[in-house]
Amino acid sequence: MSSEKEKLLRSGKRNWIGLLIVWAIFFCQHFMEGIPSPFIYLGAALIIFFLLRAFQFGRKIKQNPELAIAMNDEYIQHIRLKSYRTTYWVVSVIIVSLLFLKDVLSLSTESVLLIILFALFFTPAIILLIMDREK
Amino acid sequence: MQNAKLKNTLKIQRARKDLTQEQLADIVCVTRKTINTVEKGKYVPSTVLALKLARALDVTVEELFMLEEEFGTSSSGPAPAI
Repeated sequence: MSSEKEKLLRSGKRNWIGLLIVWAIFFCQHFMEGIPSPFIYLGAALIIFFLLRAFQFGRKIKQNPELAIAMNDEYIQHIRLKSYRTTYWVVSVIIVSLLFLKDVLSLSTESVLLIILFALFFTPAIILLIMDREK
Repeated sequence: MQNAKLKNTLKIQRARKDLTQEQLADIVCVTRKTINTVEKGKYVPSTVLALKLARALDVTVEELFMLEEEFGTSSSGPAPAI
């Protein structure tokens, strides 16, 4: 089971990184003009691919309760909590910065919401990946 | 007491039992990374995990984990039993 656990962990991590990269590209695309449409379709296809893999990953874990317990152990819960705590501060800083910069930057409500959403989803994921690194 | 750090002999005890981090992780139902971070002193395990580790390695918790006081000051009295 050991190597299976490690293999699953690695594949789950790779999947997360892929999903984050594609989502980041999609996010940037909102603020950039002139991105060709085939590029967007490719991005959508990649998102579906990574989401399907994430679903598969979840199913594999559900089938093995022992594996599920091991992969949600106290250290993982600890770093997850840390990442949420950091996200709280990052989002707070972004909101305060946007408040101060509201006269300088002319951002639409949609853009502001997208920035906050981006920070909410990406900060915990990136921090988790950083903290989960092998040192 | 405020500067107390938790030291452990996990690596030694694991070597004594001839177990790899992965094998020990399997026994106590955690990931190898958890064992690695505890071993390096980067993460302080919960009482439950400390007890599981001690049981898996056939030692007491006090043999596995001990307080290392910074600046050479030692705590008075015996260590509280877990």
